Amino acid sequence: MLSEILRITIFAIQALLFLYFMLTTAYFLVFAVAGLFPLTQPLSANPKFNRFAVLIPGYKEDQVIIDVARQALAQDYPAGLFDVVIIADSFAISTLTELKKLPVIVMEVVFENSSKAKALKEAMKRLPAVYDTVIILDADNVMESDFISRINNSVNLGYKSMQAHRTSKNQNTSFAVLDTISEEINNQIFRKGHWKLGLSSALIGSGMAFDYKLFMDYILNMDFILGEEKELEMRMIRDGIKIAYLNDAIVYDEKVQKSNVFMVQRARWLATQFIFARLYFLPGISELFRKGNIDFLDKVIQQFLPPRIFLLGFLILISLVSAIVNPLPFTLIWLGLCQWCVLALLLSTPGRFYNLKTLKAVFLLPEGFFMMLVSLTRIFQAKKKWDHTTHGIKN
Amino acid sequence: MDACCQFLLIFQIVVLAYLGGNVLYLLFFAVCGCFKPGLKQNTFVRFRHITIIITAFKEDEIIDNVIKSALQQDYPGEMVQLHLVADSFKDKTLERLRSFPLKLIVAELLESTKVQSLNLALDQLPPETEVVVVLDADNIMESDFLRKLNLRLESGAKVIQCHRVAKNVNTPFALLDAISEEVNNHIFRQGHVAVGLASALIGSAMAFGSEVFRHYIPQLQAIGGFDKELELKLLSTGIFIDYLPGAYVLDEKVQSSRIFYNQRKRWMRSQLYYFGRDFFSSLWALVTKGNINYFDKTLQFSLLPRVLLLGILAIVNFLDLFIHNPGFDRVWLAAFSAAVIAILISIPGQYFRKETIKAIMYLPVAFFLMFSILFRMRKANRHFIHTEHHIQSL
Repeated sequence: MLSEILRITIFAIQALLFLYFMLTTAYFLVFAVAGLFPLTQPLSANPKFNRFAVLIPGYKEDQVIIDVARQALAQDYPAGLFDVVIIADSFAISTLTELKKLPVIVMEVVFENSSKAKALKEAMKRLPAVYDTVIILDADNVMESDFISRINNSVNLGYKSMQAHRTSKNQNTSFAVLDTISEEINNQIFRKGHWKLGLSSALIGSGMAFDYKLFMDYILNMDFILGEEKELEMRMIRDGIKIAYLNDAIVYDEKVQKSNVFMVQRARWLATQFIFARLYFLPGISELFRKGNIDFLDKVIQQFLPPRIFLLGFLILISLVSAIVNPLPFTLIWLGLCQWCVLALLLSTPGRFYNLKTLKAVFLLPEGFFMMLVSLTRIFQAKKKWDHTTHGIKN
Repeated sequence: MDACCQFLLIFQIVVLAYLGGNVLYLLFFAVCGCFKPGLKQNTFVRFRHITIIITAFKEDEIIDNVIKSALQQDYPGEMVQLHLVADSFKDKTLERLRSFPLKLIVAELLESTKVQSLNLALDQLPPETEVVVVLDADNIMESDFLRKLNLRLESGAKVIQCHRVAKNVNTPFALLDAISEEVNNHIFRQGHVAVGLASALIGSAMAFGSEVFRHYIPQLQAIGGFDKELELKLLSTGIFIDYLPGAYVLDEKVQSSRIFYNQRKRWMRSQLYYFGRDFFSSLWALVTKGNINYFDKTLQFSLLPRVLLLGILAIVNFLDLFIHNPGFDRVWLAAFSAAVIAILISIPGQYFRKETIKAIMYLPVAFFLMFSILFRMRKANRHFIHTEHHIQSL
């Protein structure tokens, strides 16, 4: 009798789990396939040059900032129509003198607890209101030379909130390769695939562009506790602002290289997801019915999705366990789901990653999975404070 | 009887070798063209002074569009100059054109060749010009054309062929022509630069460094097919021709079979003429100087037009059904299949649609037109047959 109850319970749990994993896999697969189709922005018929401010907040980024500032100036956009603004938090004096030799605006800021949101807020307060559009980069980001021109085209097409295509420039370790691929998978599913189907793209936190007035409104009236891009994205989408994805405007970033940096960052992302899932579940449904805001509902659904590596890892683990304890048909069903999940991930991986280097990196997946599990335990600490993601290899 | 068989066998082998060589050449570059270059572009350094030269012969109707496209570029306006060589235009049109911010070069040329028009423009080329863009009167640049071109020039390229595509494909014949141009773009441009070989020129939507332009244009004598003469001159002196697929120029396609016929006749004649003139010198240059681009170019001139190749292979395979031709029938079938594959992978995805199926019905017509040209090739490269452009009511 007891064993019967146990069996039914296990079965029920398994069915629920299966339903959850099946829905998430279906979600990924739909957008992965949509993202396979080419996405090119039409050209505005009568181009007009808008005025841009390129905001680059940096916290103790002495190593990279000079180079980044210099590269940011190499844009095939009229020089008088864009300003590079380095928001310098806790830089060495020598770095500042070096920076001031370049034709960039250096804005020194001091905070008790430094954060990117605070830096951006301060910059928006101090900048003269002469710009049409702001572009937000990280201190390790390098734009392609046609980046501003492409954003300008989108501005001319009428977009007010845009996410560019961020990808990585250095992949010298297997971990960096994995991280880059994971970012490209996310680009395909949450950005390209979404935009292709007419839904808002997700923001990433850098390589973003906003209408000047719009950004001013949001940044000054918000307190950012979690990741600023996540809060910004949620708020904008709730207010019915479309976030466009510009697949051809490319910005390169330096990938996280050490596993502890990776874990802190992921913990922060996961924490945000948990909080948002709780906070916005009901508003999401009510907005759908009241205003037909399907973008917001989609964004809320995204908060319930597991990270890709969890999905894959758990599906494989469950299949293995199932092979031992379950009857064969059950195991086959789990394996089938596993296959669809792998297919969704493979479809989202750009062709240039199909090489030996990637094959080597794939062996690190179990370690990545394990680290993400550990991150789960850390998310509550992560909520408390803004973690600074250190860039590059220091010392 | 035996001698007759022997002769037929040798004839078949010779024809197979030629057509098979054609197919292999196309297939190789068609496959190469499928490999996309990586993400990284050039790094911007500066904006260059660009002069756009539009050569036009009696194009009163359509000339405004190209001028507008030149004035609506996301490129600093003070760096761009527009020169229009207006040959045999109506006075009324000239009057209207004077209100545009461009340099109008009015001409009444005797032979009305593009080379003459370009030379006229060359005489008035401003000294600060670093880049010359050559356009036809029916060409429309996309608004990011000059910017993309300028960025590509950071690589040090001296001659760049940009991506010319059809503007209006409203008749099956125009659609067929548009597809044929894209197939050529894929094989002779994209596929070539993918393996480090020089791209083919088209005759418009080309960009030149001003020194190259000043040096080579006065040397040209061609009456028809000046792009082929220019290609040979450039490549024989070791100047590379780059291809920029991302910079688009929309071009009006020929629309009736008569225009198509005249244009192809002109092309095939000049191709044959230059093949005969340059083949041995290019072979010599290959052996002595290792100039592979020059040789590749004359080799290209020996190729049959794609429509003819497909048609002849189809006919041979059809005949094979009725003739006992052991051994060869499979080879012919393989050659035909390879040619079809080469063409199919060269056609951009957007053309795989319903209208294309209708256009394919016109392939036999195109084939017979081209086939009849083969028998009228004797008249040499003396007449310039002008391609008329008709504007559709917009």
